[in-house]
Amino acid sequence: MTFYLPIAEMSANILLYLGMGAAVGFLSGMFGVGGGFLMTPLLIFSGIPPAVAVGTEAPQITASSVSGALAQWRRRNVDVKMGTILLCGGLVGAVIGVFVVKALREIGQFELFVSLSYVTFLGAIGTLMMIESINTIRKSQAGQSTSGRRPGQHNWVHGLPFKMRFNRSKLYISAIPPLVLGALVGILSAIMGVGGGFIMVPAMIYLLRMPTNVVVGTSLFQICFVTAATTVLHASQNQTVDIILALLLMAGGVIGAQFGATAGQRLKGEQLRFLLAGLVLLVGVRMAWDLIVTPSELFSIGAALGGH
Amino acid sequence: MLLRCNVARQLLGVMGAIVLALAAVAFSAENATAQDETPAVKPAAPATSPPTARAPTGKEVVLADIATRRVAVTSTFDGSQILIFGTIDQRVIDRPTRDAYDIVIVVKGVPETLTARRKARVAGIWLNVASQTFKDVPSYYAIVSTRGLADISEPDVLSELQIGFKNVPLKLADAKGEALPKDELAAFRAAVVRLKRSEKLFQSKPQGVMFTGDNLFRATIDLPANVTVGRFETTVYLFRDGKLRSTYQAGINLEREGLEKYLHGFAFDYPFWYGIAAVILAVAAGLLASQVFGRPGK
Repeated sequence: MTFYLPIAEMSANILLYLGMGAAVGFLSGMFGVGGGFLMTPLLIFSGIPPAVAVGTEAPQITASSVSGALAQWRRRNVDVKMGTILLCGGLVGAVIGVFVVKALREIGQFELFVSLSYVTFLGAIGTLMMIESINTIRKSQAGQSTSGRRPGQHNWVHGLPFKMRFNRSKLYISAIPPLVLGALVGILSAIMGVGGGFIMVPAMIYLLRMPTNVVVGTSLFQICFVTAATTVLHASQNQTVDIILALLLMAGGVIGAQFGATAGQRLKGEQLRFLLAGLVLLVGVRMAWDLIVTPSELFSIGAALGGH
Repeated sequence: MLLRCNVARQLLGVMGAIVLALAAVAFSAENATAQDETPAVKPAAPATSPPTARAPTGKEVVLADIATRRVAVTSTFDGSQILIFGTIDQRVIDRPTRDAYDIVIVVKGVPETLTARRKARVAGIWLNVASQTFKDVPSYYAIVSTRGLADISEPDVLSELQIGFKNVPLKLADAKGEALPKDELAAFRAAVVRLKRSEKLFQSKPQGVMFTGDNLFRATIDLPANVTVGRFETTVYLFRDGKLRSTYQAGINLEREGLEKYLHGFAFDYPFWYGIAAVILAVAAGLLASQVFGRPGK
């Protein structure tokens, strides 16, 4: 059963994309991540043009993070003030990112840039997560307590100007780090087709020193708005959002996420982080492989974009 | 808590209604156009040119037609097959055998501008280092004939008529290309043909034209699903003894229809609102998931 995708201009196997959405949804429900870092490469591997893959992922992440953010909101796990600062930075970052995408496509280096970004960020974060989770597993096996960071501790970040009070996170820190963090995540979100949670969550815990129970909800809050903005920007600047493909992925993803969340409850936190680290590294290695190994075809052709 | 649930439900209801309304409009548009498609003898889309025949010496003339002059790209479009058929109308007294004639059919798609890029290894990774842009490249090019092209006519005749992959027009789009060494330019041109062939957008079927009796011939051509939508020019060439005797031209229109037309038009003519619609759909889907399943995914 196929459906002709209006923007990707190719015919897609409906079951394939429903299945992909469900598989990635399962993993995202299990690990509590957006899944964009997994879905975008999968879409590219399955033959969707990279720019359309990135553009179409944005609404799909909006859908899944709305669902998650609402759930966290009901439990009062969202620091709205912090989230708003993050999303202001994020919106600026998204605009910058979308124009960077446009410029890269015109000089024909978009695919390279996306691959390099994935290899760099997934490699770095996957490695850090892997180390952290292995340490935590070892500590818990040795019977030591695995305490999280204490929110009261200060580091260099706390010395910056423009301090604001964040009551929900019990913080009194400068507004600059969340703005810059939000902007960075916004840029990456627009270029890589991800939500950015895998960068924001560790940064919020280790850099901003927010209490862990508020981190996921606030991050989802930011992601909702930034990916919504990215969707509109990609659609209006690059016309790369395929609404039919996005619907297929959303449908599969929502179903998969429910099963994933149930499965995730059976595992301990550090085991989940270990598995997630493994998955992140796997995707990073796969993209690096494509960059390093001699390709079978040295040439490529594409429609000419922009001015001649 | 109860109030929030109600607000969410009302919001969900409104968004669901918007989505359903959009879907109803789109699907009714698709159904209405599908009914119009029954092939009565009605004037085709205005872009179809009337068939033309050219008989340089008033002797034999080739006439042809295409089984479907209009192919609709609907949501179930997965490529299409075009049937071209025709006859050799012989008005000369001497009636040579059918083997004396050769038919070559060329179908050309919408001309486009495309860029070819070449990778090289830089600092351990492969990236695009050189590019050349070509204009007026047919997005689709199919060539079907009774025999191999080399057996039908001389290379310079074929080159003048732009028949054959070697002779596909690949004009340089900018002055930069004139500075390129000849073999590099040739490599780019060969790459364009090779990559288009791998996508089945450039096709060649020598011996694809089949004769029934002395005069009636037919050929089928495959249009893959990723072909560029637009007008396809079909030219039928009649050769005898290596010389061109007659040509015939006809057109096929590949057009988007129904939901596909609506969405494509929406995305390219009103891109900002299309983006907004995508966001509304995403938020509605997220809210729906949250309500229906009732448990937090994250």
